[in-house]
Amino acid sequence: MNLYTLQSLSKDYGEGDSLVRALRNVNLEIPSGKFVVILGASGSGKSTLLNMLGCMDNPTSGRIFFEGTDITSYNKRQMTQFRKTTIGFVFQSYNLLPDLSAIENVEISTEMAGLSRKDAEYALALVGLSERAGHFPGQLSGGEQQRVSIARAIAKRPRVLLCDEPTGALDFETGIKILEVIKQIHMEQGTSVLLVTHSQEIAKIADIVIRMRSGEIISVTGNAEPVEPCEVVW
Amino acid sequence: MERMTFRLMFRKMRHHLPQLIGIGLLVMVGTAFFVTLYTIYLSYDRRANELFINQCYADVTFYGSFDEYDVAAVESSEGITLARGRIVHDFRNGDIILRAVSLTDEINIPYIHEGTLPSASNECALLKKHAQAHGTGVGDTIVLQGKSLRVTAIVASPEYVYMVQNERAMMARPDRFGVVFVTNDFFNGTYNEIAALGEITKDEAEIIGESIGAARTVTQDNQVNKVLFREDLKQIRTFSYIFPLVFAFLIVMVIYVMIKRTLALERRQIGVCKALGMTEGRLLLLYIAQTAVVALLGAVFGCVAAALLCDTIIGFFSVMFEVPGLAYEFYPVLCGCVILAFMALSAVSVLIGARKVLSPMPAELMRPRMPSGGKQILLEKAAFLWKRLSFNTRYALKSALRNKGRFFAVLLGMCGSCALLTFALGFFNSAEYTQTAYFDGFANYDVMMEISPMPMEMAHPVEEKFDVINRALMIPVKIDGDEYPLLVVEENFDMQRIDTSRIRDGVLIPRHYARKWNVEAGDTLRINDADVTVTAVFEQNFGLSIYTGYDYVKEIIRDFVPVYNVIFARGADISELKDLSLRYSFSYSTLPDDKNSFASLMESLNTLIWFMLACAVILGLTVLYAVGLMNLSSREYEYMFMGVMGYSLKNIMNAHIKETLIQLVIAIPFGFALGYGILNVVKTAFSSDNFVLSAAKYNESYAYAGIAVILMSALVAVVSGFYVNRLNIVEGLKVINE
Ligand SMILES: Nc1ncnc2c1ncn2[C@@H]1O[C@H](COP(=O)(O)OP(=O)(O)OP(=O)(O)O)[C@@H](O)[C@H]1O
Ligand SMILES: [Mg+2]
Repeated sequence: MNLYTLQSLSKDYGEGDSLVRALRNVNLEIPSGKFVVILGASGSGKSTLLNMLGCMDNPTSGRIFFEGTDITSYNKRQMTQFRKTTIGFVFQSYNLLPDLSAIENVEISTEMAGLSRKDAEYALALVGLSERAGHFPGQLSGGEQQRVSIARAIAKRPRVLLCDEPTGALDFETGIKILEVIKQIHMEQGTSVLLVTHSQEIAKIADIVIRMRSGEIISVTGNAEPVEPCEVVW
Repeated sequence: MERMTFRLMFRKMRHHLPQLIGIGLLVMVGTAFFVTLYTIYLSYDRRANELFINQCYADVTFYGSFDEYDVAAVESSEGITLARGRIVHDFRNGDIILRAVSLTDEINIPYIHEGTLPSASNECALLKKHAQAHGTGVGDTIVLQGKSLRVTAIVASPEYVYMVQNERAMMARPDRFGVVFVTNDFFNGTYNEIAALGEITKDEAEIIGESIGAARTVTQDNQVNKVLFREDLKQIRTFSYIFPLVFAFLIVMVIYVMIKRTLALERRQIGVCKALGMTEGRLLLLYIAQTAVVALLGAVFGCVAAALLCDTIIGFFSVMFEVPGLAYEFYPVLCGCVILAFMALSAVSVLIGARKVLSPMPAELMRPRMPSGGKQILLEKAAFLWKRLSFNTRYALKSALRNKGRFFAVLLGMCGSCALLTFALGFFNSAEYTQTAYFDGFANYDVMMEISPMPMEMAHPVEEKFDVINRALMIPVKIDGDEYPLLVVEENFDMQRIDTSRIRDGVLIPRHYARKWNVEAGDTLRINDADVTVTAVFEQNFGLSIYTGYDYVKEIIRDFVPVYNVIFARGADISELKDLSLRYSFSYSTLPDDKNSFASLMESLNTLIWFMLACAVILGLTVLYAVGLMNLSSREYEYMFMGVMGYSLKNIMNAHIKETLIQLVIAIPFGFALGYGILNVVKTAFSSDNFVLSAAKYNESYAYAGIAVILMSALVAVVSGFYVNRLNIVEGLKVINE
């Protein structure tokens, strides 16, 4: 069964003169267990699509099936539950809670998912930040914050990891490290990954590349030989 | 709550610590005020009733001249379970009146603080308040009508919770009035009172009274002592509500604006939490718990403060009443309810402020919010006016109206503080005004003597001792089933300022009665069984009576025989009175005495006033500071930018001060009005058939209240000045990046 099936999905922002059609009638099938990259120029609707997939926003019309279940028909409680157990989200701007330390930021997520502190510690170790566990976001660099944010997303062992330009605010080398961590989790835990980027190079590490323009899918291509993140140059 | 959410909550509390402390302080003062007064109310009610029941407070007392047969007749009457005859007599010794009361077993039993009840005719028990005022103890002797009596006990009496001599007298000063309980053989003579126990109505009691030829029958509920007790209870309770209500209102306001701002600042974080799968309910709890914890702490501290304050406040009240065992008592239900009420209040305030903010989808919450500012304010649309204002004024107006919540919170803080100050000062003014109005305006006699009724043709021997005298007749009349005093006066009566030209064709009534009976000048009023005309309504604060002339009284009382039983007099040697009163056996009260005892009551009131003033100032400062700080930190960036653009601290503060001025101009008049409104509500609670408080407010009081609020604002402005001055541009830039 497909991980996601999208049927004529549309999202409009605003109304009247200021109407923006961020997604236009998107039909798409995403298989399970793949590393998928969504590629497109700025403003093409990538974030909007990712938000819909993560139940972070409601579409204007159309349906999204997650493993056969229509998640667009979910009520608020079900959506929250879906986000809590199934989705791990990594944001471009880290979005750690400034009042909690690194480990606490991970723990708040595991706690909600009913997992233990051990899971949080394991996730933090996975991104190589065990020594900085007690530090607050303000005391960490951008790359470190993004790693904490990845740890937070994966600690609860989600089925899907949604990453919105995780390297967008980082320098090249840090970006590579982040991608390596994501890839490693994908390989080790079999997590399906959907990663948004506007870099052609990063797209090379994917199994499947989805290209977007002006709210539409222009192509879905398979990648027979995905490269390792360390080989990527941009 | 899970551990992390809990931790998050406490960490978040640090961000608005000043506001939370402010809220806690408001809750604490509100709680302390309420719990203190309400505890006194409950404790007084309980202790006094204990005294009434345990000491067998007489249910009905008959006055007259009685023998054993009358006592037996009363006891055998239906409804009466027990009756005892006794003799009560007032002895004057210089300034001091001592009332000797023969002991009755099983009725009106004195409560023994110390010692044992007297058993011989040369022994006595003394009322505690009087004993205290004179430093008299067990074993000392006092002199009563030439006889010296050994004090064997210091006691309290259910009949003398209040030191009142009679219905018309002011509350007596404990050093001037005392009650001495003596054995039956101290007197030898007939009884002049019968005290009885039994569950009977006023009407039934009166029938019994008539059957034994009693001059007056008074049931327990109508005794001054009991009436004063009931009224004081009511007043204490009314008082306990006023301040906490104003406080509660401002607590809601401060929490509301605080939570609004906090949520606006933490919008993105809320989105993140929702993205992580936190439910809306959990998020709401996260914010509710912050203020609820503070409310809990504040209320608990308030209860502790009440425990510490209570006895001091009871001490002030003890000038008015004395009940054994009246002291701070812990009422768990009261404290629990107050704590819960404040927690609920804080939770509701958060709920109102947060409900809508938390509901959008996480994606929307995490997007930067569309700026709501930039809208034109109304005045801007009136361009020609707007352009004439200086930049500073324009800026002040705009920033004032940009955040209406905070603007109104400051406004309400000023208004509430001003109102409570106005009220407290006005309450003081009213008491003072009432005193002046009565003693310097209304009453115009030196002494009032109550004699046994005498025909008008006969002159009482005491009359010749005075320069000016007026005779009058005091008789009880019935209106709506209750008894009121009717004072029949002569046409040349000038001892009290009433319009004697109106007594010929009707009755004059005090305004308090007019309101109570819902009549005005010109209306008819049913007195006893007659319809009479009300010719005038006038202001009277003490010893309220209905007035009429000797001619018109015939309309009210059939077969009226002109007699007099009261003599008002001016211009004589009051010191002679004591001997005269002994010789002719009459009781009297002098105006200076009454004035003194009222003045000492006023002194005890002062403490309460200071307590209220302090609360009002705390309220004002806390709200102004807590909300002001929010204003400042939300404008930090703006001020900094102005600083970069070359605006001096003075310019910035000018804008700030102008905004404060706008608020003061609006808030102070409303504060005055609100304060006056509260005063009028309280006035009603403080007015009874014995005493009417006139609401009065002197101009100084308005000025003081206004100045105090302005000073508070100025103080907060100065603190703000330091804050703006300290602003650091580098730090400020970080804020923007967040
Ligand atoms: N809340 C909103 N209101 C109005 N328009 C919006 C809103 N959010 C997004 N848009 C518009 O929708 C379109 C798609 O936005 P989206 O954020 O999905 O683009 P993107 O592909 O993620 O771009 P980027 O690479 O810059 O992040 C854009 O034209 C954007 O301006
Ligand atoms: Mg985007």
